[in-house]
Amino acid sequence: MKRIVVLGGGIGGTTVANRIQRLLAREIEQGQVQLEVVDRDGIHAYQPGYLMVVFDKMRAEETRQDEARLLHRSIRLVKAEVEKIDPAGKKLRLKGGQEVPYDLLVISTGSVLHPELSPGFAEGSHSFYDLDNALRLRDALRQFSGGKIVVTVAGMPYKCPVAPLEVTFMLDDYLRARGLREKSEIHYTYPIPRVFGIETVAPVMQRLMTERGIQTHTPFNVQKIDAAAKKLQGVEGDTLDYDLLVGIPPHRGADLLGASGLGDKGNWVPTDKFTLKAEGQSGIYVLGDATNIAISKAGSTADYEAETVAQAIAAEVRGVPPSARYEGRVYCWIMTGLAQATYIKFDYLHPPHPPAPSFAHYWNKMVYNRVYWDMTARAMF
Amino acid sequence: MELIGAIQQEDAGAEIEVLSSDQGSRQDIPLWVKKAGHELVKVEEGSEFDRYLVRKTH
Ligand SMILES: Cc1cc2nc3c(=O)[nH]c(=O)nc-3n(C[C@H](O)[C@H](O)[C@H](O)COP(=O)(O)OP(=O)(O)OC[C@H]3O[C@@H](n4cnc5c(N)ncnc54)[C@H](O)[C@@H]3O)c2cc1C
Repeated sequence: MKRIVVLGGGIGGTTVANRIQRLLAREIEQGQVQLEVVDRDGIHAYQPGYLMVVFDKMRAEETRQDEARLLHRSIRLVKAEVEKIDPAGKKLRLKGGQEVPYDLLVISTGSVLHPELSPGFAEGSHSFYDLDNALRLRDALRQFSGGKIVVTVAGMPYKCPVAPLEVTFMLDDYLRARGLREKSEIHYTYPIPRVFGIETVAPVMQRLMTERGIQTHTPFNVQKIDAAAKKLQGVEGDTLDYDLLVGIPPHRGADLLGASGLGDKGNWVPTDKFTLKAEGQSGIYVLGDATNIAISKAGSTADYEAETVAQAIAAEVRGVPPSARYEGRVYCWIMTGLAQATYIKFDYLHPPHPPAPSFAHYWNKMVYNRVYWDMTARAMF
Repeated sequence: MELIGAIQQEDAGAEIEVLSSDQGSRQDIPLWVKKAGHELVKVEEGSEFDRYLVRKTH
């Protein structure tokens, strides 16, 4: 019997497990293959929903479901914290000392937020990158009566690269709807010399910001946040004061990857950008935020990567050389207001060209927020 | 940018070498170094990656 273990039951782990099940249904049924997902708490979070929660477009409960309900019934779910991977012995060590052996391993442990790596961030900045902070920001906005809002990014790489753009446009619209825009300033800072990483997209976003009176500061790298004085100090020497600061905290890969000798200095796993195999390892695939691939860390990336990984795993089980390649496909909507959006679609060779923002694109995104559970997590397509 | 983290950990006067295979760096690194008031000592363009040498001035 071959044991396939998926580590992490988030967007990447769940969809890849369901895809593998689809491809190896017969082998699993006949007991030649056992498929398992190991996840810390067995709760599946749809993180894109957090941005929606801030602006009352989704309820907190709508961003989570039991992982067990999303996995095909033939997939075993183990709820446990994994402390270490032993690539030589081909096994995982769980908290409490238990071991889970594997023949093939898929790592999808996502990214970990580290506000403490940015001095003053935890005390001085709002965020919306986890559910508690999203709710706190929602409440702070309900109390907000005008003033200076600063949106900032405290470290790269971070997941969902478009999220700071989106929250900025949505804040602008939110303040307009409440008659507070005239009494407010919105400032956007970004660590590189333009408002977004992808060169074909940055000028389009810059134009929208200029049109809406959003002031941009680039390059701006956060040195420290003084919560008492409400000041954001940049490495480049600029200082911005604020009434409300919305920041993206620094990210790292999961600790266990570093501890297992699989991670680089940010705990991201060096991964072949086409085969999605962990470099220098055998039988280990990596997808989603956990890789070191220079591409957007996004649920959509994880979803496309899952197709490649599932095919490779099925090929390995059947003893044929894997031929599927990940071509760098990503598709992300960009909310450009409370009821309008555009999108970017690209791969390694073709940069994105976002269409004009429209209600229709926004509506697609809102529908996707609801069908995510079937379409992506359960891998309906 | 890796460079920013690296520079923050060094003392003034230190020289930092950055290797980058990213096209965008050709524009971003010189712009950032200028804005932050450091000095771009040397750029060597290579076929696989470019090499930048930056002196931390303050
Ligand atoms: C506010 C916000 C908005 C976003 N919007 C979008 C969007 O519009 N579009 C988009 O494509 N992406 C978006 N994203 C990004 C997207 O959510 C992530 O890129 C995606 O979740 C990555 O999937 P993953 O499987 O790599 O990691 P995750 O979904 O984070 O899952 C990781 C899983 O691994 C488990 N795990 C980690 N370590 C261990 C361990 N040691 N032991 C056991 N289990 C462990 C965790 O519990 C978790 O279940 C957004 C993110 C945020 C925060």
